[in-house]
Amino acid sequence: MFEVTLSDNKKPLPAQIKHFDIGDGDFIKKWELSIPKGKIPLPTVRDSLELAKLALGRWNLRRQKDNYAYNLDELKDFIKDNPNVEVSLFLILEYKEDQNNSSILCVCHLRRTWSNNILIDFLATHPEIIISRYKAGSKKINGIGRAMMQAVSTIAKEINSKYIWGETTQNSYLYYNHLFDLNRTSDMLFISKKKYTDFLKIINTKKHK
Amino acid sequence: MKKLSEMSLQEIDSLEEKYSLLLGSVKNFYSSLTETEIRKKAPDTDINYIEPSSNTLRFFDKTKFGVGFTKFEEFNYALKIQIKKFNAIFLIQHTQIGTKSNFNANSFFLRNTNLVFEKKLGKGLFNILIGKLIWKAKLLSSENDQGLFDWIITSKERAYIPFKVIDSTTKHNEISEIVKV
Repeated sequence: MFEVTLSDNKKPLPAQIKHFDIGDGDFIKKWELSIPKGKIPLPTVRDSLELAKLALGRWNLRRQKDNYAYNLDELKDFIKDNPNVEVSLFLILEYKEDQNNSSILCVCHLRRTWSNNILIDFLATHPEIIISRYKAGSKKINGIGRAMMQAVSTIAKEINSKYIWGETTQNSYLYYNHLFDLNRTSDMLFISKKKYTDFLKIINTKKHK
Repeated sequence: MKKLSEMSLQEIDSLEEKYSLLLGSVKNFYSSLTETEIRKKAPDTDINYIEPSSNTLRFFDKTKFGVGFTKFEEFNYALKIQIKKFNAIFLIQHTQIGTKSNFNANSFFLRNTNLVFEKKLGKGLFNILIGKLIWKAKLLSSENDQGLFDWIITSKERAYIPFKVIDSTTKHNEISEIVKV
């Protein structure tokens, strides 16, 4: 579990990145319900929902057949047992508004590949977060992508991965270029060890004002 | 644009307001198609298409074999290659993601190829596959001269080719040197 801090441009918001569990499965319904009815959703909203469904679908389908780690120690145990093992992880970013209300704002399905790298299968954000970007005056929560990539980079660092990789979209590749100081005009996200450790060093020294 | 180290955490976090955070293959049809369904959809010939999405269908309705697509449109399509001699089926997804600005990725993915890339496959068979891919890429290159093989992966990363851009002029023997099957 990773304690992270988001922000709404006014104050820091404490949140957690944890491993997905059966009890979290209803998040997808909540995401669907948050999309305004009666009009075609924005492409990024539609894609986000689709990716989240694919991530959840994969977890539902494969969790009893594939190796899934639910914390870092488990991941390391799998690797110790078999250095070529492929292990999946399903991370969620949970924000608790108060004691009774919490929301999953981001999901990320990733794998430790047989060659000890981290492959991000799917990363998706809550549709409300995307929609809020287009609505003047709505509450904007920031730091979700940064926090999730902090967690993914920390995992990569812990197991000494040579790189993190995945597939961007035309709307997301520039974000990752900024975050990791990359210069790729490609759908392939490729973050070398130097880049993700530099990112962690920078982020870990910064605090919300 | 300031470097990350020069930005405050608030500035870094507000970058998210400009972009989406999505990662993953959006039209990830392979996860929903079983091999039986693939076999059912594709006639038993050497090369066939499988149409996994409406986008793909539109593409095929408009065009024949990769000619005439809209350059800056995102699309996916799949190409099935069956090599009867080896009883092997490859499912290749081609994705182009483009906008009217400067982003135009044109990649090939090998999907649902576990059957092939387990121990059953040797380099010889892989070269046949790559040969087919290059042939396909040559057809596409008349419409789009972007890098044809930005990356090629299998679902288990066994044929992942980092950095090495293979274009339609790459020869088979060069490929077998850089691909570890």
